[in-house]
Amino acid sequence: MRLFPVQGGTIRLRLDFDEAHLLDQLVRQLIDLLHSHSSTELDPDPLFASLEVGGSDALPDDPALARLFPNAYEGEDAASQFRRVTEQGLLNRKLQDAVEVSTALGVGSLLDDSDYGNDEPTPVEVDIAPDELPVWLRTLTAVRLAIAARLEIMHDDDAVRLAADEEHRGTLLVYDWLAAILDSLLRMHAND
Amino acid sequence: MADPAVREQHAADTTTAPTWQTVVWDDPVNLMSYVTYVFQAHFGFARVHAERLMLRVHESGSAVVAEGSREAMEMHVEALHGYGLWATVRQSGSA
Repeated sequence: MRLFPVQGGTIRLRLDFDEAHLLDQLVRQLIDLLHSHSSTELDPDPLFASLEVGGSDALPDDPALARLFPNAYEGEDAASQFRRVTEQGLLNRKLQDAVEVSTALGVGSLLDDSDYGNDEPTPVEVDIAPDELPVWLRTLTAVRLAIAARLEIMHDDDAVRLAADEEHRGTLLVYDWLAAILDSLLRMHAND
Repeated sequence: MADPAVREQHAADTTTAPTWQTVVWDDPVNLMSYVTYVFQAHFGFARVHAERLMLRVHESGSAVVAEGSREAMEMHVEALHGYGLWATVRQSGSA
């Protein structure tokens, strides 16, 4: 993973093909997770979708969904009331973000390309314009939150504990790699 | 701890009573740089102020980042959930 500043505050993200493929897979898993909690089809009009009223009554049972859609009040009743009105719109916006990132990566179309496999896989380059940066940051964060929930990272020292754990070491490496992309994007943005 | 920026926002909202708060809670996942970015991007806070608030969240476990009407705080919390931050609305003086 490498970043390059382009004119006008745009950041160019260059990923090895395998990295781009991995990131796309993770984002697609997030999309599937969000779909699993959605009660409606995503309205093709992005504005309608983002303003959709609706939602469930209680904190989702799935820990990853619970972290992506936390209670807005400490009291159960107020939290439930708020969730019933806002959750679906929030879910739709997260879906729109994730779909935008996956589309920008364009890995799916590369895999469909009949030439793939004959040549060395080429790196994937994506230009992230300033107005697209929040979409990337939110989606990378959502993927990290979902992974952290699966790994049961609840306290600051849990990541240290997991590093010593054979079974979860690979997932933790991916989790840290996503953090490195996020932090690099933020550094380049701050220095712009 | 006194904080001029929060007090200013409070003063601007004295017409709406009772006053509500947006609380951001510490979590082990979100990067310090990202939380600072969100405070700048969403609230328009200057970098120094955003960093100070981020550190308060990190060190105290939570921090009040805005005060005002209930509707305004609900909008903040919904936006912060959009960024993946852990935030809640509460009435001033309830904690």
